[in-house]
Amino acid sequence: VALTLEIIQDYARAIGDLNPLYFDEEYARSSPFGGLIAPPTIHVPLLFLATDATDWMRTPGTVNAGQSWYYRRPERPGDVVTLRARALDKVYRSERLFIVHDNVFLDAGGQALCAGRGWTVRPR
Amino acid sequence: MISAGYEFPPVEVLVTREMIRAYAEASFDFNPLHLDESWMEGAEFGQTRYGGVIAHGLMTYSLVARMVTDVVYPLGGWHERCEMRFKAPVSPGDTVTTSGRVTNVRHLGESLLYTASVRAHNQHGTIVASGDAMGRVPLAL
Repeated sequence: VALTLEIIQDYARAIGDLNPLYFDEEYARSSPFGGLIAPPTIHVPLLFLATDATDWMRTPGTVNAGQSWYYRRPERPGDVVTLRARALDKVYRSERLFIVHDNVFLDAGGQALCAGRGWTVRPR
Repeated sequence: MISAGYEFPPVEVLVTREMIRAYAEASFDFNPLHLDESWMEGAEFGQTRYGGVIAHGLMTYSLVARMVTDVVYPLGGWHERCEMRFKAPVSPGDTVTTSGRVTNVRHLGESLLYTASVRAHNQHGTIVASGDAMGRVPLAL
């Protein structure tokens, strides 16, 4: 997936985050980041852009129970990222099926950008 | 400025149907859980009843990240880790307020590493999400 400024700014606006590091090129250039960046949580749209709507992970009714992410560095407009996703485990608890997801986003050089675990409850 | 006991200024958001839809569009997550009232009426979730559409857990998670970056970016810092469990649903009309408290700090090279306990609650005081965050800010400031 190619990360565009539009994806970054739409996502930032949706969480009411108008930080100039996402919107103001000049401000961002003079910051320690040296240019526009994406919010750390940009992995959310990237995850859904990288997976097909029919992917089992996205079954309608799936409930998010928890998330744990590590952000190695800020992502930037123009980054081309690859998602490596797999199901690590499945657990029945209180008659509900939980899946443990393992997601890693890699940059064009194969380096990890961010990585996370997710816990979802599967619909019946 | 960041030391044990420091409290992040909260982010407070009134969650509306429009906001949930805008979040779905910006995150490309169109799960009917968040958008389709009639679908939710017929859906079963074990013993849990949501009584209508609910907001994305990752929206709350992202509001917590926003609370942290609002403080650490101006210091040249970075939000490195965040783990949260979603404990209660957020429905349209709810006000979500985030909170975060630094629990520990440690010097590592030129950086100050901190850990924080982070949460979000609704207008009834119910915790909707809680967990931990970690990050670093440069020492030389």
